[in-house]
Amino acid sequence: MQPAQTAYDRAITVFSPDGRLFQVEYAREAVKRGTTALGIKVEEGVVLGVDKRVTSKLIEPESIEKVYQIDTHIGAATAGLVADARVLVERARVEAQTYRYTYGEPIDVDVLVKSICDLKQVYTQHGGVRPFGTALLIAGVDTKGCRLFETDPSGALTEHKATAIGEGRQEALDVFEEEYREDMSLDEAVELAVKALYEASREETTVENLEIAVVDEDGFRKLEREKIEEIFREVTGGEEPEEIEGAG
Amino acid sequence: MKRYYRRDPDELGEEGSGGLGVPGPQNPVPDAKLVELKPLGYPIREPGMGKEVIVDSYEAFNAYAREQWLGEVVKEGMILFDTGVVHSYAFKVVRVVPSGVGRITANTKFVLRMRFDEDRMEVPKITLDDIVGHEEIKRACRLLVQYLKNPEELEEWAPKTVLFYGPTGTGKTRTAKAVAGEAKVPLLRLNAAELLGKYVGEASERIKRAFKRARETAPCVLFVDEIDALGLDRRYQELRGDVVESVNSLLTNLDRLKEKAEGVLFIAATNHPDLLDPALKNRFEYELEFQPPDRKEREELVRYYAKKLPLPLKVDPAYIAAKTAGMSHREIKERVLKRALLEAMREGADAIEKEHVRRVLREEKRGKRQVYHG
Repeated sequence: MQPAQTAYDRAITVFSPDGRLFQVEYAREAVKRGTTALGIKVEEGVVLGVDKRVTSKLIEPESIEKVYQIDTHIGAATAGLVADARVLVERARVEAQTYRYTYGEPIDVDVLVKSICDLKQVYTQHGGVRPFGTALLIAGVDTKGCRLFETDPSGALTEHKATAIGEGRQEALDVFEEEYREDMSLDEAVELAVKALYEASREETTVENLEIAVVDEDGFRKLEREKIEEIFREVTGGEEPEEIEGAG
Repeated sequence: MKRYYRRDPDELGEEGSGGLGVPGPQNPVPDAKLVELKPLGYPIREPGMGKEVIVDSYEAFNAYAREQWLGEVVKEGMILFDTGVVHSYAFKVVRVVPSGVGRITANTKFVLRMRFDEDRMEVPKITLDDIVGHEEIKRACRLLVQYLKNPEELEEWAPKTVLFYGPTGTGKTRTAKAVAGEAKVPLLRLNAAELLGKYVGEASERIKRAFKRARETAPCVLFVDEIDALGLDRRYQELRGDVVESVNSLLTNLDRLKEKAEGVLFIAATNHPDLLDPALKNRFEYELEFQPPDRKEREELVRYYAKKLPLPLKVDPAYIAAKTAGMSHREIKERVLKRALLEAMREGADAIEKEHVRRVLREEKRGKRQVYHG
């Protein structure tokens, strides 16, 4: 325990006696309260999917952004504090363009991710600021192929074949454990994404809440509403048949 | 000496004992190895007569009880009246090990379930078979059970101090009960926060008394729940003035136990192993981690509980297992199954259907989302 702990100390990220950064851990909790975002990488490209969970009919669904384009070949999906996410995405976009301007070529995905993570790290080490309460999934296609990264509030990054962040992370991961295969086609990956988002919402979400984007060798694009509706109908229409268990 | 017994001749007749104290020719009454008594109080008394009894030494009480009731046949549920020090004070026979009925012999052990202590002592009814999943832990526990059944033989090699750690609701307390239940020995259950008491320094005294009680009741399991309340790392001394004394008292008593266990198995449980004093952690010969159930275990758990539910469960356990990712054992039982049962009963349904479970899962709040989360 620190001597003379005052309320002001809480705003600063300092080590605990057993080597933990509580502010960072609390920031991770904030991410868990964000709605689900997931990413799936296959040979042909990477899929990003989010569940916006719009809570009121009076809200314009398009105004809720969870999937962003960073550059022609990179996209991101966020979970956690909305405002923090926006700031980080802005930063990523500027980084990508600065790189293009400086080197005359598109930025490699891992280089971009690392620069965002470096920024996140700064906010865990300098006085008077708090860490970002957002995790990002960054997907892109560069000279090295298709890449999918996850970043967390501490500035750590990990590369994945498939992953999820936010509320329904565990349920989505369960679905991936069972059904993900590296040799899936892009279409199959999109279907898997929709299915995982549905499961992650414990079967509560509706198609209007979902947004899907893909990045492949032709670049980043968001899927059209009709396409998502079609896949959603397929995924949820054929529900598992009821099994009667005569117990009790 | 007059004796009063609640006679239920039909019941006793069934057992073949033919009457009190007289064994029937076909079914001889087995010896009672252990009798658990619960003090009830006086059947009738003048105001001013004390209701509470105090035991100075459990060893002495054992000898006293044996002498009084030697040769008597006791059955679970019957009442025994004292004829000695607290004449006509009633004790209820809560358990008779091993068979529910038994004759009191020179080897019978009495366990007294005191009402006003900070501890609770009982011989649990559940066994290791009642624990779902946790296969590795169950295997480790079998050695503990062996030790409790044969303390002298395994004294040197069996672990006598064990730490159960893991998130809340994952079966730590239940497993400690099951170990005692399987070995058919008493479980002396202490809650560390209760041990702390109101006054600084009270804890060390209570700890000492608890270990003494355990030794007098051996073989038995001494179970301390929430030990992080008591065995805090000593750098948290500022929080409560007597952390150091409590921890030291624990360490001293544990050392004594490890040297000469005399049939006592010490199990501690905690949600926060990292808060424990490192010296205390070192005293544990075994550390067993309890994790929340994975999908397979969740399914097994639902099947196990489905057999006990008052209404039939018409939902595929695999479905429930899939939808309860991340939940602990207790959460699945109480927040999902119990609530689904309630929903079904509210509707007057005669079985628990998928819709009931779905409704309950929907309500399961995952932490309130604020406007600034997204």
